[in-house]
Amino acid sequence: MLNQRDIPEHKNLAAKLEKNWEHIGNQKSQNKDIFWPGKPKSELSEYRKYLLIAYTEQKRSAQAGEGDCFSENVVAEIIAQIGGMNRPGVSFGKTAEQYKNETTANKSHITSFRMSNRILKFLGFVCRERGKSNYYKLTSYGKQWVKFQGEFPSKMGILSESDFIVERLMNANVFGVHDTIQTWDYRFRNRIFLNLMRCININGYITNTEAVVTAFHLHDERCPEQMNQMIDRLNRLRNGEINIVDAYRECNIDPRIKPAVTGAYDGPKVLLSFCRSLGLLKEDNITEYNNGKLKDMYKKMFAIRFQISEPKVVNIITTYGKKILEQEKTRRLVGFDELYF
Amino acid sequence: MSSISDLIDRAALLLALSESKSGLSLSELKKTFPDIDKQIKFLGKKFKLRIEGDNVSLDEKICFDLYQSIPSDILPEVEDKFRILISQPALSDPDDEPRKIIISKDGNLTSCINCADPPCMTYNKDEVFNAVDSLASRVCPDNLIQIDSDGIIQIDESKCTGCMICVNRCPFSAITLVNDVAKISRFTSTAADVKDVNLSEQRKITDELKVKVGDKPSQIYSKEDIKKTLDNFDKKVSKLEQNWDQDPYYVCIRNWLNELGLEAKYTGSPGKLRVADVTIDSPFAVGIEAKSPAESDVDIGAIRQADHARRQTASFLDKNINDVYAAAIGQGVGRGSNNEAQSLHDQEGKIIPIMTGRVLLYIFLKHISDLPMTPQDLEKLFSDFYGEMTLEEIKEFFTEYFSAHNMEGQQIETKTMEEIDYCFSTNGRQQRGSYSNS
Repeated sequence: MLNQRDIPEHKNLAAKLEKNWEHIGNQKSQNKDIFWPGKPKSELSEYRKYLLIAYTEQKRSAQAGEGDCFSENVVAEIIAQIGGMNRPGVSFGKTAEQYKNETTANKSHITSFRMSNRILKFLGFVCRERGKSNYYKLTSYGKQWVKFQGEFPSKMGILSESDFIVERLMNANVFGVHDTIQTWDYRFRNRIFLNLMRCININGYITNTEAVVTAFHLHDERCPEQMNQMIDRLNRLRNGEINIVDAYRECNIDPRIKPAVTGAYDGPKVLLSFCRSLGLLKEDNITEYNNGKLKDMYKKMFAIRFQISEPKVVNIITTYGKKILEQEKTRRLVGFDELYF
Repeated sequence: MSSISDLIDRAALLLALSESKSGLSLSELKKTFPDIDKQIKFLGKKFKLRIEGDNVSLDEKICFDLYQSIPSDILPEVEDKFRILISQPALSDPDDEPRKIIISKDGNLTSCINCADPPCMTYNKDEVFNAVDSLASRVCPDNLIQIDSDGIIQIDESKCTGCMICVNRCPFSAITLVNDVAKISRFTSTAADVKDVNLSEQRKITDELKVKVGDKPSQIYSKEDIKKTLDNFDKKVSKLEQNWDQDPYYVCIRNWLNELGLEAKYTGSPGKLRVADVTIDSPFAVGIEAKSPAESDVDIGAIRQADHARRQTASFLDKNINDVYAAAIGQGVGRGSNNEAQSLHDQEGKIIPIMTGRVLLYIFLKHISDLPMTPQDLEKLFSDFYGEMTLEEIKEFFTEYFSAHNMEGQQIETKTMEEIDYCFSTNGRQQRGSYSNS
């Protein structure tokens, strides 16, 4: 296999990273190019790094006449080789060795990058290269984002990275928990970020689990009935009419199947983290927020055997979050399918 | 069912209408869309279009995004047509975004010029790649220095703790400590012109002015000023006021060490799997266990963690464990930790100094004023002392400093010793700030 370090553009990138990472690795490991990224799936700054690596590869590929795009698999290999992701406590060299005879779909660094790339796609920073499976290219927004430097969120002149990302997030049409792979490409009908903010604005707070059964379950936000159902479900949960297991059942997530429950639970984590890093939300302890009045409500909501324990923190909408929501809520979502007939 | 070309035309037209504020000219549209009437009729059924004379505009706000709503199969065609319609390039290059630079009319360079890559705000921009230290580019520990919506550098003075890092980093001496907070000195509107430039011009002008202003003169502080700065920092970061937690406190320790000429990293952030909260890599290696005011004082556990941090740092750096130092730094020193450090020394020969933030800030202040430190001087902090750095140890450290620099017996030595007495001789628990007002 081609060693990405032999490619000059990647060599420079790797040299920069290695300078800072040269001593990382556990005691037994001979591979010193390992690092473990800090919360890569929920840190927007990590996505910017990944995108820059993908852009470097895209430029190299264009210069080499291989097309103005990047391969997901190649970028995943580069990120792994220059120390961009690894399983905690296991040297990448050994992990890669384990995966040597596996299919691509079973190589964890590739599947991890695919998930990250999918989020980049939802945000409009990369798009598919037509006619090439697993090949993508940076959109004009993606090319603009990689120009930002330094700590997230930074500024380029008067251009604010935070405003830039909020705009992308507000337009992000993401699949709900029940959407199938066919819907991922163009028939998105749920501005999940906006709808999450809408749910939070109802009482001013939301927990991760509540987000699963509301904004993340919404199939088509253009359907008023579904929007009402979402709000109704949240209200019934908080009034004590249903408990969390009932809410999961209503969303057709079998509460007895752990992967189904935890998989759905992981979804909002990323978006809620994005919201917090952009200053749209802040976290507060349930025992402290609103003089602890919520504690009993959540105790009742989770007073049943369930895969997920009672929440300890709530996400509260900030003044800035309310302002953004006010600006955005009058915009009507238009799906591509509306142009058919 | 519509044909693919119809879908492409409608999508491009709808995107252009939603982007365009003043609307589009129908006669111009005809050049790109021969059957514009058909498409306008179609869109008119679904969206609120306003047609006035030759102008067509969208009378409602919609969310229809080029990259998030259009299928990838037809995206290039839609994008091409959309760009023609709104006649704009993909997106402006952020490097060309206008930035402000302030040019003094009389050549005076002691106020903020609004530098490119401002050193008061960010360390080397390449540090964005620093994966060990996710806050590598941060200069202000609490990230209080930002560029405002007008493109001007501002400090949130209400939260400033007076750690002096930005004061030291400004090449134009435009940041000073006034009433215990960092303040930016500004040109009056008559004394300077504000110019809009792009990034490369801003960098060029900044570099020229840096050369012009030359080396920054050292600022000499009186013992009263130093004590006030130390007390102020202790008080503001304490539990009673801002209750600094890991990120700002550890970054502050890292930055003081960096400003002292050492290569330090904040390695203790979540997900980094490192025991050492702050690591000094070069010119000598130290694994530091830090305790922020929000956590606790340096306790017995912290001393043991410091020793663990040393072992782990040695393995990371591929060094012999004896070549790596350990230290514990915090806002206060808890009960029993001094005894623990002493017993580790007496029984196992391990040297673990316990420093307060106050001691480190004092050394930093001396470094940037009248007693510049070399790495050899600083190494003694980690190699020659164990247990809590109290007044006597601080004096001993500076005695060694004067001896190494052949400055023994000079007036500055007497002055420094008096200053140390003045700054560190108060009751131990009070000087840390956390308890002084309780």
